[in-house]
Amino acid sequence: MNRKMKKIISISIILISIQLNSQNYGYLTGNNQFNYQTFHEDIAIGADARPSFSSGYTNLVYTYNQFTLGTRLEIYNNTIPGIEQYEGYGIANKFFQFKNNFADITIGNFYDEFGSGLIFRTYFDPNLGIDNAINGLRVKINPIDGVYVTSLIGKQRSYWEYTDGLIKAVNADISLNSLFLQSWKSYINLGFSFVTKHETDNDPLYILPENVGALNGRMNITKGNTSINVDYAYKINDPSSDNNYIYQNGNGVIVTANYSKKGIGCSIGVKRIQNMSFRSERNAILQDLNINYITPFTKQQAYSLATIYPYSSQPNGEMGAQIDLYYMIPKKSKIGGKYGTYINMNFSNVFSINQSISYDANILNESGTIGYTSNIFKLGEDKLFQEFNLEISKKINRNLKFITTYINVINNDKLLKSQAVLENQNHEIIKADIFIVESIIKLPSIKSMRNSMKIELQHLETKQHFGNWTMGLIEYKISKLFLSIQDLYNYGHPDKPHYYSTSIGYNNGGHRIALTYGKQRAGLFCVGGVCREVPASNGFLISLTSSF
Amino acid sequence: MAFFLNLIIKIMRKLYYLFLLLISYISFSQIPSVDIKTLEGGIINTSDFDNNDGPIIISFWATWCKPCKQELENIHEVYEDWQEDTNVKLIAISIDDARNTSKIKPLVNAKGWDYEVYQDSNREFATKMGVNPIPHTFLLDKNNNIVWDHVTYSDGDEEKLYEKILELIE
Repeated sequence: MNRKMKKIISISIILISIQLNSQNYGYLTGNNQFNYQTFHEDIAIGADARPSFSSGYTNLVYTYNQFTLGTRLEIYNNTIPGIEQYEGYGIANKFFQFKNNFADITIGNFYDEFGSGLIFRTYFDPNLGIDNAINGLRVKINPIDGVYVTSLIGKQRSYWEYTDGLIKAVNADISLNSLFLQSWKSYINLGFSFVTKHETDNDPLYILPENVGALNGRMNITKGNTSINVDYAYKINDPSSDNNYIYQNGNGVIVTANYSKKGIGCSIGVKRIQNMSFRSERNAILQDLNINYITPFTKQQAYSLATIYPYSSQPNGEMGAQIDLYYMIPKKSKIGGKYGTYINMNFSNVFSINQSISYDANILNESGTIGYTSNIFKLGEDKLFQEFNLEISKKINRNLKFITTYINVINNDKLLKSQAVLENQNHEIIKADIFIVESIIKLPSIKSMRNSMKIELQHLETKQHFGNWTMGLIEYKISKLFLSIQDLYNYGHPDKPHYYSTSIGYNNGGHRIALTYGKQRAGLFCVGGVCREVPASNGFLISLTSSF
Repeated sequence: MAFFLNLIIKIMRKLYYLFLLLISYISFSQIPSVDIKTLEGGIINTSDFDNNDGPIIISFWATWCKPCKQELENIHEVYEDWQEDTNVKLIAISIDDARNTSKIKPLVNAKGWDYEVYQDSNREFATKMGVNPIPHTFLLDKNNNIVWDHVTYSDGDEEKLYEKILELIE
């Protein structure tokens, strides 16, 4: 981005806002995020000294009648390992959109998701360093009530550049009820997508497919309290560094069903994924250039000790099931108490897929061959992950509430190898029990300022890996101010490290600022099953978010 | 570092002017028109949000977000009274992605929440509303103009929201 361009953009933004101000033409919204982190050496936790890392972005979206103009400015300075390629600054996202009742046309960078994302999802997650936006043209039309068609063409963002691979896609969502079954009491929604990527083949060894297509079909039926959802995807062979260059077609199926009425709910699901990694470049790794999104079928954890052994989905092959039960013991019953007692149970497991050597190969997953054959109805040999969660939440009186949680987790790190290990340690199957008690206390107002307190106690017990952990947290909020202090103590580790930290923050309307000082453990930082490894750190963190 | 600071200062200065210009304007922002999903997998446009001339609360939440659920739970306890006195309607927008889609409805029903609930799984609506951390709660007047918003939740924050609703309907 050269200087002149930048000047023009900022002047035009200011002009637009003046215009806005004087005539109420259109409106502008947006948000900011800015983080500044220092790193000091700390041998006890293995943290290195590094130059201070700052990152930030500003989203601006201006809408005038049916027209929308959007930009995002991003800045990264002294990036930490894992996202080094973002170093620099510039306008990372810009788009122009026209939308009326019939059509929605976007030129520039855009995000979209077809169904659950099995063959297509682009999104922005600054915390993980993911932005796989497509730069190109997208046309959405709504020709008749209940029919939505999207077609798009473009190239994916790869840090500060775009890939060579070209993506073309179409998607249709159809609501049968709006189309011709208006009087039906059940709902039926269908979806179809087709996505293709083009990438030239310069491989000296193999003849690789230059066009790789993927198909997806979806159906959701809701009748009364019950709902069932089927999602199937198929992808033609796409040898890549993810699958060790095998010529195997991919497929994936997710079936979920749920039933619920007032006070009770249940959700069950099964999932099988085989060779479904789909990226716009064959050699891309980690979180780079994914075209699709394969989410893990496990509970999304929020407590800090429960996030130590997370599961991230395995696009090459996994097969699993999950069940969730939600129950509210009614108010004023013997067990329910005055306010009712809420119970949530979750169980999930994931296995590898069945594999046997294919006719053209000598070993499993041999490059240049089909790789393997698989019986889709058979589980693989290894259990990759299993988790049981039980959460009971009970309000004792107007000012006091308890949430207690028990988690039993089995993480096959022997196979997944996602945890850091000590020098003389091997990757092993990790079994852990986690106990958590959280209490939320509403305190009497001080000079009409509301104030409340949260106390969390957590314990993780395991004979493997780094052994036992214990954790305590106290958080106090008064009016717009909050203070918190916490310590994670890994007393099962030979070095017995403490990870203490303290924070102070202020928030007002859509704005929030927080200052944290303390230590952070090395490990997998995950959002929605997508994980990034973060190094241990010791230092200050200033974090600012603002929305307007 | 000096270069970087300079850059920040330059950008901040520009943004500052922009903010000044905007501040007087913010209160007139209307909600953007975005297609989001119903819990049955259908599509609804956000410009069709309607509450027969009553105020609307839009709350961005997710099944994994504890303070979000606490906010919706605490409002649930007083929701009937609020509705009776002010005719307010709460629309809860879940930003859960495919991982938790099928869990939204059973959770909402088990908790007995009588809110309108929709999914914005790819955060298109959230982004256009300027939402980043959640919970993020907006209050709209009868013409769907945003008159108030608030990020984060701690016990009792709903009382402040209710004051704003009362101010609005006066």
